[in-house]
Amino acid sequence: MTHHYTNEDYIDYLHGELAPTDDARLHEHLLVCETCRAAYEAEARLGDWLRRAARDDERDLPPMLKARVWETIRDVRPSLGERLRAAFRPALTLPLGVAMAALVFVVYPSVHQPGAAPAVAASYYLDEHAAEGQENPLADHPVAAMVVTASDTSSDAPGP
Amino acid sequence: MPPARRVLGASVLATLALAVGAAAAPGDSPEALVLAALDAPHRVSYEGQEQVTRWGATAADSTIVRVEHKAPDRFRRTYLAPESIYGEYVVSRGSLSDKVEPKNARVVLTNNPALANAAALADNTTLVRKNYTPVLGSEETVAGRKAATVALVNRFTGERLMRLWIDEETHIILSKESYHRDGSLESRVRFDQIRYTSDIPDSLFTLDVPAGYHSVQGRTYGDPSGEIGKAISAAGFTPIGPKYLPDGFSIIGADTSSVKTIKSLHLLYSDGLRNLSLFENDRAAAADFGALQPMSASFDGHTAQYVKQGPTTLLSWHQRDLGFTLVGDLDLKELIEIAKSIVP
Repeated sequence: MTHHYTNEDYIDYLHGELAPTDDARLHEHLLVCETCRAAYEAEARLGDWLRRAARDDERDLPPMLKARVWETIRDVRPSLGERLRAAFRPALTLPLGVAMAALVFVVYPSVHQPGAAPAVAASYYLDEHAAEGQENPLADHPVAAMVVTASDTSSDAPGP
Repeated sequence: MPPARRVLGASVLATLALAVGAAAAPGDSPEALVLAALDAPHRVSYEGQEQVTRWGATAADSTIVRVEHKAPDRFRRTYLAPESIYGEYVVSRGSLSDKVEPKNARVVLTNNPALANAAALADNTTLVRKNYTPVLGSEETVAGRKAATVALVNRFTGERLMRLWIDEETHIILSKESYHRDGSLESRVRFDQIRYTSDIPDSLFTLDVPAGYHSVQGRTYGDPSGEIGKAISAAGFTPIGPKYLPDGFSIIGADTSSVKTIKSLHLLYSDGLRNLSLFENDRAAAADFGALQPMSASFDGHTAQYVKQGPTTLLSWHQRDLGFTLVGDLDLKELIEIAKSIVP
């Protein structure tokens, strides 16, 4: 009686997960057994199809399904409230938009500084901390620390 | 700081120095030696050359500087190394310093009130005496001078955080080493040579802007005063202070300054040897690290950024409308513990 392999065996074979001797035995068997070769090729095609499908980011809906979706949307009748809101939407939207634009124009510059989120240079904090240590002859800050960075006359210098 | 407090602070230090410091002599207590060393620069003039080395996590930087000092408060420091600052010199009188940069043909004027803050010095002296036990070591020679060695040991942790080499005759500190909590070296200031003399020309300490140079107004540093409440009122927002501080630390000053229209409150803490600064603002402004390369640290759901510069660590984060920056001569773990006690 001829021994046939199972789908699990083909899957392991396709993924190179069989032990070397089992791998060689199955390979040899596929050369002589048409039944197993057909089953193996079917399994291999299925794997290829699944991989191609996974690679496709976008797939079109079947045409019939799209048609049914549009038909359903057209058949839905809006309620009275929805029709009224739709009728008044331009009358409300335009003044509201103008008001919002005016608000942004007036308020935004006063709360938002040009550029990114507010930040203070780390060197300012380090220098300020080092300067305080100078009062103490025993503090850990050697005098050189501040002197070397004291040339920083950037805009981070504190205001009056 | 009110003048009255300044005078009081100066008189406290002078009294301490007169009581135990100026009279210190070989065989005196280590505490008397330390107090005498704190007062010595106000009495003793000298010229010499010193080397300053600071060890960071992966590298060390070293500066060699020639120093002329005329008591009580005039210094001229000329930088000999590294090459990037070779030839620069700083003339300082009290809180004012003029830094001459030949490479940029300019003079930078800075004002650091902390340098002339006698009351703050007295406060620090009190904290050192309260938090550190001075331990006398063996006699050694530094720059050809006999020096008494005194280790300052933290009373709470038992860790030696500083060692001083004090000239037995003049009480000038000839060398000073500070250490991390694990005992590794953090920084060293050491005279390679020193000569005591009062015969230093006054002209060394006056500055005429050299021909072709221009003057630049540099930083005017803050002056955290003991009037904490006044500084907090000036900040205009309710700050949040740390519920935890390492043993021995207490608040010694507060100051408010404006940077790029951002009002920043500076709270200053100290244990006498190590300082800790907490900067707060109500604009959620964190630190801009620029060319520095910050690392991230997380605690209690916050993501902070930190950077280490030699022995100093800066940790910055924001919470809703408040921006916080901690700067201290403490390791990151300790700063994070403090930060966790600040976040609302």
